[in-house]
Amino acid sequence: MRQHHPGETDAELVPPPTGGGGDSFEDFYAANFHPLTLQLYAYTADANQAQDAVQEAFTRAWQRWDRLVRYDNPAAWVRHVALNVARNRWRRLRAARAHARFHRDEVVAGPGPDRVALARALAGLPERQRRALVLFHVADLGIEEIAGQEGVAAGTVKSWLHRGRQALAAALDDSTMEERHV
Amino acid sequence: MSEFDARRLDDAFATFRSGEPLVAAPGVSAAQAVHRRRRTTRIVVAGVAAAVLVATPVLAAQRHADPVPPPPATQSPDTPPTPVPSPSASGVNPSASATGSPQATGSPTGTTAPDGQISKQVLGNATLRLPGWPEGFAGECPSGRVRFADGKAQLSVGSELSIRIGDVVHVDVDDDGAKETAASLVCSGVEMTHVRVFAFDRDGTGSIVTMGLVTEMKGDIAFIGAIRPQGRAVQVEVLDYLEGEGVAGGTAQHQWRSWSWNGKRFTQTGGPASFPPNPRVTDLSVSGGDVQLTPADAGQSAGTLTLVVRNKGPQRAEQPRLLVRLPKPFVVSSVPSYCTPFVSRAETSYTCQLSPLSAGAERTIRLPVSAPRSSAPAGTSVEYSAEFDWGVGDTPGFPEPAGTKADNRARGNLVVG
Repeated sequence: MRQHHPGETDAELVPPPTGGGGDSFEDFYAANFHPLTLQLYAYTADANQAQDAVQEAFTRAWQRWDRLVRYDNPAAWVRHVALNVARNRWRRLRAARAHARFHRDEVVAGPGPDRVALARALAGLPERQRRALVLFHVADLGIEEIAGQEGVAAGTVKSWLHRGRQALAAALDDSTMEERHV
Repeated sequence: MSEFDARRLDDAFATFRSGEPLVAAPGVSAAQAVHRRRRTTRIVVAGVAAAVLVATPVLAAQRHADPVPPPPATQSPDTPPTPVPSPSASGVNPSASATGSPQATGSPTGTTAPDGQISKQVLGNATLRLPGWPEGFAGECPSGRVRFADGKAQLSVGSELSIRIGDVVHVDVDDDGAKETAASLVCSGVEMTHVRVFAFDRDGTGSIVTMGLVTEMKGDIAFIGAIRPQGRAVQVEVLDYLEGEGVAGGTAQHQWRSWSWNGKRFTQTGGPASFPPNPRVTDLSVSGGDVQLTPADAGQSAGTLTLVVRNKGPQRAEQPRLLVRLPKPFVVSSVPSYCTPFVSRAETSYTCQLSPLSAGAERTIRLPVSAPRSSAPAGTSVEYSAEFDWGVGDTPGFPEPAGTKADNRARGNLVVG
């Protein structure tokens, strides 16, 4: 019962349902906007980009909410679309143009230093390792779930996570050293 | 990795996940506003072309004011003050201009008409004069003197939309013995598309001039496919629906219509003037009332959900589809063979593929509904919904006549007595 809407690219195929969700779009948005933005921030190291990608994904979700609401985990669909938006420069630009005027920067102070440090360290990692780390540690998905979503074997995900964690530890060491020498 | 490093990483992620929201949520209404804007833009582009209607006769008049071929000393306001040393000028095929065409001797001045055959490659690297684009596109699609490179033109690098040269054909539209160029220009982005077909010619200096607009997406033309030459006319493939983004593939009807140059502008001279009613667009509706469930055996309450589906016409619906959504714990206790259940967290839905329904016909669907009394005790009342359209499985349904979608959904209550 999965659908592939006209106008979507193959990269936006709907992932299999995996968890919980809400039935009112407002509830669904309220429950998922912040966790998803945080996940996208970990992936992009740019709070505005993360916000626009997530908002874009919610905009598309609203367009087909009648169907999406029937999935066990519509949030997984939104995350999948948001990651695709963030990964593609053209879609990023388009999302920024569409959603920038709705930014409410004055309301929150933005990411704190700990979040900035981790996001920056993640930004230096190869894309697949970064994606796996974000899905595992920030989105709290299991290895099998990530493997299913990425279309690879569980062993591959483990290897991405292993190498990613090593690289991330080294990157965090470097940033700590830099701070000490400033 | 050392245990210390591992713990440090886990701590870093835990800190990352906890704490304040990262940004202020723009909100559902902001997402809905963007969705509405996009949808509105897609819908209105077909109808709003006032700017073009105004601009086109001006262009046509300017070009018409030039003698054909223009005397070498004369320059229309459209041509640059000096001969264009651009690919458009260098793209003239010397052998073709030298040979000319036998009919060219018949022109009033006895001189050879300029060769207006411009290749797609040359057109895509030339500066073209284009009238303003319709509302929704005007801010993103360049107009005026537009410089193309590699077949594309864009206002700026970050612009959401850009123009590209589509089909290019050569037709002697003005009967001067030399062919002109008709080209489709597509201004589009991810979700927005506007297609216009223009005719271009060369003036006596070899510069490319815009003759006029052949046709574009407006009125009943929701999309333009290919173009091809047909005698002295430009034949254009037109569609009555723009598929994608919610409009099911296979919806659109295709026609070939022709436009010819009357000396001032292009007018339609061939093909149908309009589309017949689309055979897949019909007005479907569904209605249903509340359902009373009464105690049945084995701790269940049971009742019958009665839905009446109608085809109000004008077309026969070949694949009518009914989607019934029951909140948990209500289920259809005996699922008909033509319905497929789908269980999600909060509800069970049934996609029922019905047999064809003729225009004017109605059918009553009765579904036995039950719920355990343990989780739906007497007094329970929850809302079900039923949607009726023409489509297959989970694909988008075919569109309906404008303004008739409101009755495609019925709601009622499941009431446990």
